[in-house]
Parts: sequence; structure tokens; C-alpha cells
Amino acid sequence: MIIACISDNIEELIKLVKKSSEIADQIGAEIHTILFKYYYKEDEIEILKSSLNTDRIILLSNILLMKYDSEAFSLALMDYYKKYKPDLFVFNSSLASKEMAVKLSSKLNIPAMLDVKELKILDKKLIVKRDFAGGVYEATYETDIPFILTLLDSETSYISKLDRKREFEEMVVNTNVSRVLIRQTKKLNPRINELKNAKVIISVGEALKDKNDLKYIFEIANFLKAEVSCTRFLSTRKKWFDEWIGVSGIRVSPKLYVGIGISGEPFHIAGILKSEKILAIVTDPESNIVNYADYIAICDLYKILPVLAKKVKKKYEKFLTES
Amino acid sequence: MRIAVFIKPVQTSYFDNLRNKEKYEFFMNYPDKCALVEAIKLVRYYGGEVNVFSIANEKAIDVLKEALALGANSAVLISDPIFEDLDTLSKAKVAIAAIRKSKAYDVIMFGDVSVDSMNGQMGIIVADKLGLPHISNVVRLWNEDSKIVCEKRVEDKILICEARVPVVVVVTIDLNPFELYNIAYEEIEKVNKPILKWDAKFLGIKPEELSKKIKISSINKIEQQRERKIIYFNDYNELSEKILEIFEKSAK
Repeated sequence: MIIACISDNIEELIKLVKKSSEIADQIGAEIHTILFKYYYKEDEIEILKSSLNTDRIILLSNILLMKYDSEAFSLALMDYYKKYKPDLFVFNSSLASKEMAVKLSSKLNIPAMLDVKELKILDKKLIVKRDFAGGVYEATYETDIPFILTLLDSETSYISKLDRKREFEEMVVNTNVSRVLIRQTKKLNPRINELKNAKVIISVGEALKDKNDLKYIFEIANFLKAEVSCTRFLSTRKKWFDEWIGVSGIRVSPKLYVGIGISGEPFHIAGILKSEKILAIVTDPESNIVNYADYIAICDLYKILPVLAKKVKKKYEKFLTES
Repeated sequence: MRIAVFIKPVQTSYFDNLRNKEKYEFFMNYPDKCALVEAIKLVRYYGGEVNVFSIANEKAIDVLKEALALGANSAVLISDPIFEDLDTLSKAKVAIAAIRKSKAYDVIMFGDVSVDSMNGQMGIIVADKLGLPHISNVVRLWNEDSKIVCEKRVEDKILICEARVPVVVVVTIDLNPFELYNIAYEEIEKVNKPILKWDAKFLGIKPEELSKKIKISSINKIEQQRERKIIYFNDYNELSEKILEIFEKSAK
């Protein structure tokens, strides 16, 4: 059995190979790591060749693989498939990788599943767990191999005791680019790692009417050493932040999550469920976030925020003076 | 401009806080509704028509009525017992058969994800199988001559992309304020435009061409052990003190 690991970025690929080895060790499978020449830098490829505990690194080579293109990358993977017929393709769950995985699924007629949380292989059957209905539910699926999946979170503390073969092969592949032309690219600065590692997060929702109101939030966050972010609506429609919290954005797991003026759409809620404590400060008692909070303050946001900011500031200044 | 929009009816049972939940068994998948609203806006501006398709059972007919009430020119319910519980590859096969039965489209639109199964593969598979370009994660789109231009958002960048028609466009809920396009229950009930019904025989699909390779074994609510403690207060000074206590207790 062969598990093929593919990612659109190097950090995720390293984690993916480690996570796949957890499964591969149990069932005696080989791990193949697929790299795209020109897309990965030469020094990155050298690092991966020397550090990845994998059976085979296959470098797919074609000048069209220089820039990410789902058509080009999935076609390139076809040549690899024809030669090795892997049983399982494991991708990371970035938007680019998901697109690549689905294209590959279509071309190979092998079913795919995205954003897989857990997987097990039992007697050639694949048992897969994923979020359902915004992540408020969890669904378990059963399917056969071959299969294609994107893995949501490949963090693992597992260390394989097997020393894998680490063979290297460069494979010149046929490919073609899509007929979609990119006119312009604007870089964003989503604070993914900051939010994923934050102990306290204050997140704001659509009940906050004006971006200037964020001044209170930042004052409070400053005292708590908290990260500030928002719901998808405020990020994508109002452009207050470059990222948002939720299953379609960043999933977080702080000690304390403070949701201010958040209605609690299921996709947002599912992204905060791993928080140790959730404090909801809301105007509307019917807000869905209330059903998932540890502490609930139902109040007028525009009355509480100035008072709270003032109190926090006072306490902070007192603390600074004393220390 | 001829636009096809694929709509998935979603069962209300998994979702709390839905408007008129008691009246409907299904609601229109939000990203698909975004696609429909955008398609209607496009044809109002550039001319043309919007045809809506839904692969579903007959119980979901109200979702198609809603699409017509919103302004779609026609609606097709693609329904057959052999279409139940298909995997996405087979569902895409059914969608393609329906597209081929219709007149040629300039744009074929899908929502990026289904809010129940949280799967988002149909648009990409349909584009791939039909050999059409596709643009996904679309947050804005417009027409320029015979090209569709889209603003596409991915994790760390916004891209402006273009493709010549025919093209498949996969949109996100950020495309337009779809939540403002709610149709009253009574208005939906009043819709009397005919809804076409196409089955496997009409589409020329045989059962052996379809597969159900993925089976759902269970769907369970993720249980949350939350205190759900309401903070009572007399004035905002008192409330802010209590919130500060929570900050200090929980953030340590």
C-alpha cells in the first residue's frame, strides 16, 4: 500500500508526512512525498530530501509547475499515479490543495473528501471523520481505497520508529495550464499563527457598527495581551481584518475566547469550539453563540465597551505602577 | 448571457435558529443562494436568462419555487430514486447530463460549499469533466466582452482572474448580502411558474453508471460541556467588574 503526500507549502508538507507515517506505520504502508520542481525552491527540496522520513521523494518536473495552477498540478499528478498507483492521496487543506485534490479526483474518477479531521484504515476500508452542518455535528464516513483526501489538521506528536528508505526520483511529467488568466494579485496579511497560538482572543461581530468602535476592543486586548479578530462578515464584506475566525477561516483554541456582538453562525461557532472558555457579550439573547458560551453577558455593547475599556486601562496602569 | 445555477436544498433539521423552520423541511444552501442572486443581477444588467437546477427529491420543490420567486427564469428538479445518496463524482455526472440536455450556457454557477455536508467539489468536477475553465472562491464578478472577470479570495491574497465563456464559477457567501433576499413564505407558495422534472431516463443515465462509494455511518452532535452562566448585573460598572473577573480567572 502507498500513501502519497502532497502540499502547496513546505511547512504543511513536513507535518503531513509525519501525520501520514502514523497511519502508514500501523498498516505497513509506504509513504511517497510528491514535490513540484520550480514551485518548491531548490534549497527547500534539498532540506526535504535530507530531513523527511519517507520512502520515496518524487520530484515532478515541468516548467509549467513554476506557479500554482490546479489544472497543471493535477495533470502532473496523473503521470505519477500511472506509474505508482498509490492507494491514498493525502493533501493539506489549503484552498489551493483542495482544488488540486478535487481536480485529481475528477480526472482519476477516485472519490475525494475534503477537510478530514480523523482517518483510520481497517481491512482496506477507510473510516473518515469530518465536520458536518457547520461543525456543530461530526459525521463518520466509510469508503474504500483508492481514495483522495485533504487533511484538516496534521499536527501530531507521533514520532515514527521506522527509518524509511528516502529514495529520490525526478519524474518529467506532461501537464498543461488552465485557461484562467490572473490579472492582478493583492497580498493580504492574515495573522494565522498569531491567532492559532493565542491564549486570549477577542473577536468582534456584526453588532459592532463602526470600525472606530474597535478602539475599545484594542484597549481591552492590550491589557489582556489578547489577539483581536472578527467574523467572516466583518473581514470579507467590511474589510476590517485580513482574516476571520471560523471553519472557513481560522480555527482557534485559546484559553479564553471573548465574542463581542457575534450572532454565532454555525461556521463561526465550529471554529471556536476548542476554546477552553467562551465569554459571549451580546445584545441579542437569541444569538446562537449564547448556546455555546460558558459566560453570557446580555447588554448594550455601546454602554459596556467604554466602561470596560476604562476599567481595564485603570487596572493596567495600576499594575504597571505597582510593578 | 445564459446562466445555469445549481442549487442544493439543505435539510433544516441540523440547523437551529432558522427563519420559518417549522414551515420548511429544506432551505436553499446559502452559497448557492449567493450564486443565484448574483446570476439574477447579471442578467438584469447584461440581459439573458437564469436557469436553476437542483438534484433533489420532490420534497425539496419549495426551494425551487423560492428560486423562481427570486427571479430565476426557469427551474428544473432533477429527481429519480437512483440519484439518492450518490457520491459527488456521480452527482456531477447527473449535473453534466442536465447541462447537456439544455441549450449552451455562458456561465455555470455553484456555491463553494454545502452547509450541511461541508463539501465543495461539484463545480470543479463539472468544469473538469466538461473541459471548461473554472474560477473558484469568487467574491465579486462581472462581464467584460466575452470574458467573465472575478475577484477571488484565497488564504493570503486576493486575485483578479479572467476566463472566456463558457466558464464555471464557484462563488462564496461573500459575493453579496444573500441574507437580504428572503422571500416570504406566502410569496413562495404563490409561485405558479412550472417546474420541470427530469429523471434518469430523460437524462439517459443508467443505474450502473452511478456509484455510492462513500457511506455515512453516523452523524452526531458534538456535545459541549459549557456552563452557560448568565452574568446578572445592576449597572455597567458592576458588569465590567464581573467581566474583568472572568478575564483574570480564565486567561491565566
